[in-house]
Amino acid sequence: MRSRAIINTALMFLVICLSTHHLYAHKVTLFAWVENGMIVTESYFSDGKMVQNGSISVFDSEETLLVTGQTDSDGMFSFPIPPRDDLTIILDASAGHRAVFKLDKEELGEHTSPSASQRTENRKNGVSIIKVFVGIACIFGLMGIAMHVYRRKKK
Amino acid sequence: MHISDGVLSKEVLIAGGVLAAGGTFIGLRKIDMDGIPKVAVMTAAFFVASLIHIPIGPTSVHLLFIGILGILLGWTCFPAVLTGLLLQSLLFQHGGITALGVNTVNLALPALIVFLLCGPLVRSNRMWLAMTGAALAAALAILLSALFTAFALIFTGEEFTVIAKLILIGHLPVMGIEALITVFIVSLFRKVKPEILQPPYKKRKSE
Repeated sequence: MRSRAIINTALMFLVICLSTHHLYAHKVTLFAWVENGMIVTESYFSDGKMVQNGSISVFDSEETLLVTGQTDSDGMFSFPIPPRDDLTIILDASAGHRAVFKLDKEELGEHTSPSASQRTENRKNGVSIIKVFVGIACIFGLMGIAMHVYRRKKK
Repeated sequence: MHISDGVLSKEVLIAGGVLAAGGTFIGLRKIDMDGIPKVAVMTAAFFVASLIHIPIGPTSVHLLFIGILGILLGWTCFPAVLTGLLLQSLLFQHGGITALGVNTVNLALPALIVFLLCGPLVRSNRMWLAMTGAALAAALAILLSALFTAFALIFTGEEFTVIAKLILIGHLPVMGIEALITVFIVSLFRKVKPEILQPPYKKRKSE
């Protein structure tokens, strides 16, 4: 009975591990570049899903709202290049997801369109396994500190 | 459920911070020496669970594990969630550091409610009651968490019903998967080590 339960659980965890190829931090990313006289923005979740109907707001250096719009089904939104200024582009993907991208005025004149491969590379930003271990190590470090404090309190 | 920086107003952030600090204080007061490793292990599980994304549904969702976290930890889920979220925020920029308090409440309070409501079921002598309690705990925790997140966001001008529906529909697959996992975990613990289902408190209640 007991060993069956253990095997069941082990199997279940194996299935979970196999069904997830990558680990992703859950956040949205906004990326913007200049292409054919337009500023193109692309918004996506860290697992590669595009942000649909996310609202984009563009501010200049004096925090005046210049452009607003919605991302399409591919997570894209484009707008004509506004007067030369440092731009702050904000994505609100609802449910508390927000991302900010800054575009310097120097970048506005040039054609900064990234290559297709670069964009796919950007989109699939997984989590480094080292950071996961660092996090787990921190948790057990805190456990050690907590136990130490607890023991001293008791004395 | 992980709200980013710059979304919420100061008042909401402060209210969340105060509630999270209160919950964490109570959690730390209640914890017992033997319970510390259990809290740490569950914190680590929670920390990693959020990195596992579920590729089903319209939006991007991930595992939360707050149902089982609540059942096993009780009030001590507050320090566990706070630590897990802090590390996620610092290491992966997952959830804003200023929204840490609000996010902690959005995830730990459902865990605590589930502990109070479904905990007795899970620890009952009848297996079917325990299994129902476990599945209910997992699903209910996510449901409550979605509602709390939507509630925190209404002050930003988002419509409560719209946002709650959006989060809930996105998380339906997560609710199903976590209910299944929680049932498995609870059934295993009941067979192997039933004491683990008691919260790690100083004064242990006898059944």
